[in-house]
Amino acid sequence: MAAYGLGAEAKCVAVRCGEFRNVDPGSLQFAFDSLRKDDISTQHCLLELEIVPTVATCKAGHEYNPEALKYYACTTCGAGIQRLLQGEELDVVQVVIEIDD
Amino acid sequence: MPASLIEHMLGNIIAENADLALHNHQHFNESGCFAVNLMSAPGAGKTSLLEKTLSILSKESSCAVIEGDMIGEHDAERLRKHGVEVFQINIGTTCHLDAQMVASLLHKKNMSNIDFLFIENVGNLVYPARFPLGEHKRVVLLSVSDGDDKPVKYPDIFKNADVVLLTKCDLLPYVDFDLSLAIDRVHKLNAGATCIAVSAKNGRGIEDWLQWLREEEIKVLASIHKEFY
Amino acid sequence: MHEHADEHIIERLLTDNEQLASHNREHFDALGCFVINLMSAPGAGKTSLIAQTAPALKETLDLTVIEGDMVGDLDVQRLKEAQIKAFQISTGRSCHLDAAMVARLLHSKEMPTSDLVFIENVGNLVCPAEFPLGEHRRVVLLSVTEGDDKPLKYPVIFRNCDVVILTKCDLMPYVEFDKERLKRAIRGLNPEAKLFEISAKTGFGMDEWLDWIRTQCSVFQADRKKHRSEAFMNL
Repeated sequence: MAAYGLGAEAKCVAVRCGEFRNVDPGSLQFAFDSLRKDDISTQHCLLELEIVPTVATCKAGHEYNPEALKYYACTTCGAGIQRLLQGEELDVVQVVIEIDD
Repeated sequence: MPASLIEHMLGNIIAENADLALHNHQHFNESGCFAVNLMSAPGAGKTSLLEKTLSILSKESSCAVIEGDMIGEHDAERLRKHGVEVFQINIGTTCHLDAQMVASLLHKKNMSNIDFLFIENVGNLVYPARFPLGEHKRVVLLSVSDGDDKPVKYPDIFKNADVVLLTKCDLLPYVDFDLSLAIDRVHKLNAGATCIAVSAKNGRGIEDWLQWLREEEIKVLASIHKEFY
Repeated sequence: MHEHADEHIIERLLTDNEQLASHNREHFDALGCFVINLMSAPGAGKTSLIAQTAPALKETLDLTVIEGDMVGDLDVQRLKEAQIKAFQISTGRSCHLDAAMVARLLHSKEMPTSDLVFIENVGNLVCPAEFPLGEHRRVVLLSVTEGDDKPLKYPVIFRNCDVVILTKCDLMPYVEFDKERLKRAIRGLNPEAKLFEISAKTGFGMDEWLDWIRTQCSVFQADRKKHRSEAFMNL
């Protein structure tokens, strides 16, 4: 924020958070809300959280949403996860800053 | 990011959590609900102990559970069959409950008809110590199969415990666990902590644990009564 | 005026640790150290396993242990008493080791070169999963006393490992542990993971574990020789 000069304000941070990460969206929101109060340039900043559901493929190439209650097995053939196509993200995808003209 | 900045940021988050925990605590006081936070490493036996506790306590008093360490309904059903309400508030993979999660639940659920509220925290010996939830009492479980060195390695959680339950005592003949050494180690950190050896399997120590709960509930309600009147 | 910082300056969080982990890995490769990151809940038996593993490998493999603990040095003392080379990293308030801590030790030159390095992580089934250290293999220990539902509750760490070791198998007769349920969970989450069933106390299952280590180390050394001679040929 210092690079943008006095008066610059962070308005929004968009974060993409996969379900298959050890990150709880509620806790992330709570931590963000606590931290943004630390500085005048971030105190009104919003967090936009996009939760990405977990999608896996099995060895046979079936795509499915792995679930704990189904032992993460493929819903078509019962095989295990070969690869996670999505659900492991933890990315800042957009930052919006307002600069004093 | 420098470690000092991370510490500062964590300090802010912990302070916010502490404020919210106080709010939850007042909520529990106003409802006359005795709240207990159960913490331990994964697999120390919180759910089994809860089941054993509720099988007796639910016959005397109304009980409820806030569940932070369960997947699916199977374990929740084990508890519900004793006539208690089970609220599952964390179905993710985080490493501790926080006061915000409990606060959200309290805004939706009235606890005034609950005498004993058990909060089963996530299995973790580190962060639950830093994130109070508004509970009246903090209970730490240490399984005898996990080693008597845990109070030395994870002092914070034991320092803040009101009671330490040494669980799975039926395994004592088969493991290298020095019960008096473990208790000694707890008392070196926290002279006031009550230590009780228990086994949900054979019932050892369960009545002592229940008695502790009953006595603490009376004390807490008496002090709430004093405060208000 | 609003300025939008878009995809090209987006940050994948925790990349700092990943980059440092890659750096550590290069360092370990150059030194010829095969590194295994041991993770588990507190009390699953990491230190006991190391204490039983080290003497059995003594004749063929030189071993060093990097010991991560938040407080104290009980485990390092225990290993040193068993004549095992061990170095303590105190993680302080952090509930897991990270690549920077391991890098500092590597750069301090305190650590000798070894054929095999065990990194005993802080007891925690959550955070260590998110912080690679530069290891070649990730091993997760689960004690029979902890319950067979742990992979379902802690999927990230069990998904991102090469080996699962079921420890304290001597206690199996005295606990309720559904081995089939555990195997089913691991098959679903991580079908490529190897599963060992061990008791450090009785020695049950230790041979298979030791054979696996010896094989991993010799494949590592053979690959290393191959790459060096290829690099030499390309000069």
